[in-house]
Amino acid sequence: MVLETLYPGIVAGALARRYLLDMNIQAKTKLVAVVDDDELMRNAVQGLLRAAGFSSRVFASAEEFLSSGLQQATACLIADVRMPGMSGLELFAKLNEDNCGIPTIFITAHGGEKMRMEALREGAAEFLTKPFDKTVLLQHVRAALET
Amino acid sequence: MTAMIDRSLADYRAYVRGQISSLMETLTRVMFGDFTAVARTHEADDDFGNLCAMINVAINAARNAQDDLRRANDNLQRSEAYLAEAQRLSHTGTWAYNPAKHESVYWSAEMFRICGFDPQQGPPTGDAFLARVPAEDRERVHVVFYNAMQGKTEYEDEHRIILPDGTVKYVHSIGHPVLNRSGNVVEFVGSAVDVTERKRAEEEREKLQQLEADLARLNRVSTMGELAASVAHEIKQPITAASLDAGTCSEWLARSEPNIEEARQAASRIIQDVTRASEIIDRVRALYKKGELHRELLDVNDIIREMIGLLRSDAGRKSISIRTELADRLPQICADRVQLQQVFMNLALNAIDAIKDSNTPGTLTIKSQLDSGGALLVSVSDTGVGLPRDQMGKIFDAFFTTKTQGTGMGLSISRSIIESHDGRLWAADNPPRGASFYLTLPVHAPTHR
Repeated sequence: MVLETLYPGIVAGALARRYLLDMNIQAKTKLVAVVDDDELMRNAVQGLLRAAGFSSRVFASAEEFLSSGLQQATACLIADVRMPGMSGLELFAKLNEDNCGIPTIFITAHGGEKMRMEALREGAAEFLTKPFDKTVLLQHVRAALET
Repeated sequence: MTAMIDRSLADYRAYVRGQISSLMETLTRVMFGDFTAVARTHEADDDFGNLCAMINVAINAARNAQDDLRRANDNLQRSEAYLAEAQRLSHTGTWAYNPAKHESVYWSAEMFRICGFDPQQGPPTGDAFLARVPAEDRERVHVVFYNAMQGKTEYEDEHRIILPDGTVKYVHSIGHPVLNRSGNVVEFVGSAVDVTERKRAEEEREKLQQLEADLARLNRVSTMGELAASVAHEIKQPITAASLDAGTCSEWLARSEPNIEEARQAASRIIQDVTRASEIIDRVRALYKKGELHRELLDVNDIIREMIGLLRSDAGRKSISIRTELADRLPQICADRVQLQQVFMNLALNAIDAIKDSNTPGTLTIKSQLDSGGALLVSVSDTGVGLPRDQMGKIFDAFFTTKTQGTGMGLSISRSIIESHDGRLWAADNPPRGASFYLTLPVHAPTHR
């Protein structure tokens, strides 16, 4: 506290360096998986994550992600809710069943408050309705990676 | 008879003496008063026997003439009966008006019936007739007739009349003047047709057309309502992507050392995003369009492909695959594009609902081909729950629905649209499961493109 009062710049600088170091570590070690059947959305989210310094992989379906073998390496999952075949919510339930719980952020164009509350009750990290602010998504990605 | 013969004999003598020139005329005048039937016979000799023979001949001639007259009268009466029957059947009354006397001189029986007057009382006065015309029409009816009479011209008018029991009738009236050699109107003759039934039918038809147009619009809106969620989802995808890509682009450019390549890639993705959004809007816009029917030469396969483009995303989400078998080189049809889109969309959405209700993945198959009669045949088949077995006959009825949130108007209006294009729309089972809807449309020209 005293140090902070006397040398705020030094402390702030140190905290900033620590933050950047953490982010660097996260970017290098923690994978963000994006599962969305819409190619434009996949590419846009991946571009955003790359600009923010996150490492990511994209998948066109839940089944594709499950068969990739990257579940354990994935630190954060961004999934569309409605997709052909297995839905995002079904994927989330399947991962939990397999004791492979991943902090998951759902993104959907169909979201109602009821669906959002159900998803959060089931343990989802966040439930975003399209269109959403990129900074909100990044905040939740960071929060998920820190857990 | 004796007196008649005596008198005839006196005439005969006068004839022989040259005092009268035509014995036949005399004889017939004597026997039948003013009757002047022309009977050609032998000139008589100067003996009494010949005179009697001549009288017999004259009597026979007169009887024949009388028979002819009776037959003519019978024919006239029969003809009048036919005319009256024709007037009754065609609801046409005839009349004649004498302008000098300011009164009707003749009304046919049907004219009395149409206007509800008692034939025993004779034709009504002009004022009595006008009293049956509604007040708001009265002056016009009077002026039209008066002008025709003054101008010695034909006239034609249609107006209402109200009978004493309150019945309202529509009358189509025509008349023309009869002129004498001086050019004066001696009579005005005309006819009046009771067009009430036709008028009512026209009003009903107009109401039905309006109702059909309203229902078609309602159905279109309803269809759009069902599509709205799908369209909203479709449009949100590229908008969200564009928003994220724009943020990413800014991020790369805002750095102390901007990464131009990454920014360019993000900008390139924005172009793709907005192009997709624009395409979605273009495809949907046609369905929203409200306006008059606009028939044009169309390729039905194009319409089917456009519809599938709109439905594929929604179908995919419901684990429904869409299969097409569209024949090449089909002749064009002359049809309203928006209405056909509406029909195909209705049939396809019904199919998707039916598959969804079966709770198993399914296939929607759309085929286009020419049938054996050379008409265009399109089928929309699904592997869904199938047609309601005990209510097959009702599925095209208005307001009949098996859906919890259906309006029951989709198939009814679809059939109405196809029939207005001189086509047919019907349904059948699609073994082993599901339903098939078939529609035919006449092709525009027999030549293939």
